[in-house]
Amino acid sequence: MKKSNLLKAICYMLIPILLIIILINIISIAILVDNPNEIKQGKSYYETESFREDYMNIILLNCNAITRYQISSSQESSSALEKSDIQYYNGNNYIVEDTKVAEDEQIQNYIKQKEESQKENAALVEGDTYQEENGIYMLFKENENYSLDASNDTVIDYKTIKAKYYDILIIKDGMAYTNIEKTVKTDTLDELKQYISQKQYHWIYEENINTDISTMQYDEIAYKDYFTQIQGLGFKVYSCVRDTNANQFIINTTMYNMVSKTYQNAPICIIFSGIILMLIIAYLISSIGHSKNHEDIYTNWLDKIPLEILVIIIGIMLVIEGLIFMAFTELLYQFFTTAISLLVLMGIIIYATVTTFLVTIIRRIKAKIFWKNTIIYKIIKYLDRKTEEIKLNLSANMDINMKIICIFIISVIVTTSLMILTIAKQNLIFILFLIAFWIYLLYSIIKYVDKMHQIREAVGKIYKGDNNYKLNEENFTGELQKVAKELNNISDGLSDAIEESLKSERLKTELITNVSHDIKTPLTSIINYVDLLKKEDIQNETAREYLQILDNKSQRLKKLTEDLIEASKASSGNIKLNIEKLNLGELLKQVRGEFEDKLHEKNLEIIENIPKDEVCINADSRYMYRVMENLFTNIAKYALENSRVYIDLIVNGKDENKKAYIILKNISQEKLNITADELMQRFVRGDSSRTEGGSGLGLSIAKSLVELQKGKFEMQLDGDLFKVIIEF
Amino acid sequence: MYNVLVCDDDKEIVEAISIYLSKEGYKVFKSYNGKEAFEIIGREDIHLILLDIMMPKIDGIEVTKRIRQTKVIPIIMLSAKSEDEDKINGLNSGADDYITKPFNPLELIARVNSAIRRYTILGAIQTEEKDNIYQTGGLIINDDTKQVEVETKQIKLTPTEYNILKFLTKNKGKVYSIEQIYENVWEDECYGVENIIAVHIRHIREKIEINPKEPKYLKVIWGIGYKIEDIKV
Repeated sequence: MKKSNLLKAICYMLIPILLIIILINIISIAILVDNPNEIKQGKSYYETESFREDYMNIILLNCNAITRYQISSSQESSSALEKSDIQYYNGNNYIVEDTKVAEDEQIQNYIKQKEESQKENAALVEGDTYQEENGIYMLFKENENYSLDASNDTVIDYKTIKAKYYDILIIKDGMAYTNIEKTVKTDTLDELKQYISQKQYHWIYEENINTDISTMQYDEIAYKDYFTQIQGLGFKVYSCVRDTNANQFIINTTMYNMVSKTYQNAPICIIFSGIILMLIIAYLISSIGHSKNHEDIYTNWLDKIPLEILVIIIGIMLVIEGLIFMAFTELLYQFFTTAISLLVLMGIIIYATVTTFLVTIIRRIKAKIFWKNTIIYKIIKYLDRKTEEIKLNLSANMDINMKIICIFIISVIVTTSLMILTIAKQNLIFILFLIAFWIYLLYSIIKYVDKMHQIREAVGKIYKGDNNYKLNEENFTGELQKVAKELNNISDGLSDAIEESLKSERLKTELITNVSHDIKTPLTSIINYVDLLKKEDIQNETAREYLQILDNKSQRLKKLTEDLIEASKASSGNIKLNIEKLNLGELLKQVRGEFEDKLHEKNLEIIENIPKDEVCINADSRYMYRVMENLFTNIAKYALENSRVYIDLIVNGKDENKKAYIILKNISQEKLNITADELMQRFVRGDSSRTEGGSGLGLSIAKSLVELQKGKFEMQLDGDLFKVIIEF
Repeated sequence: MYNVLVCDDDKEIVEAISIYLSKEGYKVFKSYNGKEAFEIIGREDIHLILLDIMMPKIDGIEVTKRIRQTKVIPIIMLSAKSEDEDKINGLNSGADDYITKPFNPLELIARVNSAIRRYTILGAIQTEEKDNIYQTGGLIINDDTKQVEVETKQIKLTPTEYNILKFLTKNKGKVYSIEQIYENVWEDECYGVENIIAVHIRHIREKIEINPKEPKYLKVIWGIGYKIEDIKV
């Protein structure tokens, strides 16, 4: 699938367009279906009952006022009617009544109705103040002949009514009379209409209103008569519909007129647009999350915001945008063009907001992080993990925890109840019980701690190598018994392992010893016969040379077998030690005496540093000598001629921690190209040639023997300096 | 002419030993197992027996025990076993000496000589205990003539060596440290020279002992001192 960004952008743009198209078409259909009959019948207003009622009332009142003025001014001259009397034409006759009464009755009726709903006290002032606002009053006032007593009440009512919804226009002989304007001289009605329309655009004039009035409920006969009377006097009456519904009515009418021409295409348009919309949405959904640079569904920073926070942010944005949109809607009547452009802009912003939100939601779903990237999910996950941990901990320690909790609860209950009893019963004996209980608790705790201590001790002993140490499991109860049992098992296992390893070491030693014995017997013959051969009178020089080699090698073999046995015994610990007190200083002097000649041969200067005081250690003297012998043999063999040998005996520490150190230092003849550890290994020697006698076991044996006697044997190589430290 | 019985299941070893001993002037009887040994002992007048421990059928220990039931002739054991235990076992069963294989022929001869001397001469002669004669086993020091004898063999010692040996023999069985020996022999304190004592003692050992590494008379107690073994005749 090719994901062209351009294509996507077009798709995003098409969506709102298509949506608007669909919406408009749906509205068109709705308008066609839903609109009231008035519009369909081509009328200019909604003929609701209340409208008609109010409408009629105002017309009547206005007409009454205007016509009476006209009548009275004309009657003055023609005089068919009495001054200050009003004549109602009742069917065939004029009924002449007391003007005031008749008029007031009519008017007061209406006023009372109105006053109930709204009390406009500001109007209850002197008539003059209304001059500017009350057109009809002005009209009457200017014509001094107006006979009606300018009762404030009446005037106020006109104004109130006028401020409401309706206006009236009565025309006679080129003179128009209205309730808001002064008398206007006019030749044609159209001219007048135009004049007024300039002021207020929503005026709609109905001619011959009386035709409709005949169908009305309210005081039908009276209207009819009255209109007949007015018309009979040569007036033409025009009424104005100026209610708030008028705007809507105009719009609706306009739209209806517009729609009525195109409605046949609406369903097709909706279906067609719908299909395209679906396709575009499907395409966009499939393409969301895919990118040329990414194999998988890619996500951006927006997708990483937790869902809840995103919803809140988007929600707030939409509310703000919606409010702004509404505000712009208000502007629509006054600044249409500006408002429309602002509304379109706002619409785009809202669309972008919603789209962004939907896109990220879809991307989340596709990347399968929709649920994961929510705060609720994270909280649940966290709680889940926490509870899991707690569960694990609890289950692991359930036994012991339960016990401790039980003991604690029991203690609390016992203590509290005993305290309560003491107070309630005022009896000191409970205090004694309480103290006894506490002592028992303390005793239990001490016992428990003691048991713990025993276990700790056992662990320490096992750690130190006392594998035969056993805890008496019967001394322990509950959890501690388990611990004791396991500890004993560990100790057993350890003993077994050690025994096993000792056994194998012993077997090894035995093997080596046996093999050595078997080697020794033939070796005896070899040595003896070589010796015998040497004593023979052999003239051949070469043969004598060979014999010498045989002699050397057989002696070497002898030494090797002896050392092998010793090394194997020493390393396996298969040696019976005879530990006794021995003076290290004395030993060193003795050893030195033994090796004096050999060291002297190499012209080695011995520098001794042995304290005057006795330095005694516990060791097997013969094996200690063996150690020293090996070391001194090495020195005699490998030390550089004419160099110095240092023998130090140092004592460190006091009393219990007193340690004795024997330190031997000498300079090696050969380069020591190996590490101390390597040198200590069996069969490794300082000189690589291996020509001289020696098995290469000397240091290894020395180390093993020292360690068998619980000493430490350390070797250090520093350049040619060879240093041995024996610690006891 | 003394008769020596050599008993070992390894024929070559028996042969080699007999060569050495014949050269020393001994008459050698060869046997290759315990049974043969018994036969020869019953038949001949044997003065010394060299006996291998590890032999088929009857081993050396058993042979020794049986011989000891009737005879007191010196028995030297030969064995490839060099462990202390083996030596102790061998000696306890009635052997007079213990030589480990592979042995030095010279040492073997020296030990054989020594054993024979003890058996024939020392055993018979009751040395009169005089004031100026100190003795332990085969080691005799005559302070009058300043002569030292080890198993009838004259030993030449330097004056210092002689003094040390005399002091130790006089106090046989007791262990003396280097310092003590120094103080007693030199009879005054002189720090620094004492180191030589150890060297002297080694030299003495080399002179009086058959195998200086396993001394019979002048023993080294490592880390403590030296002593002359008190050997009852």
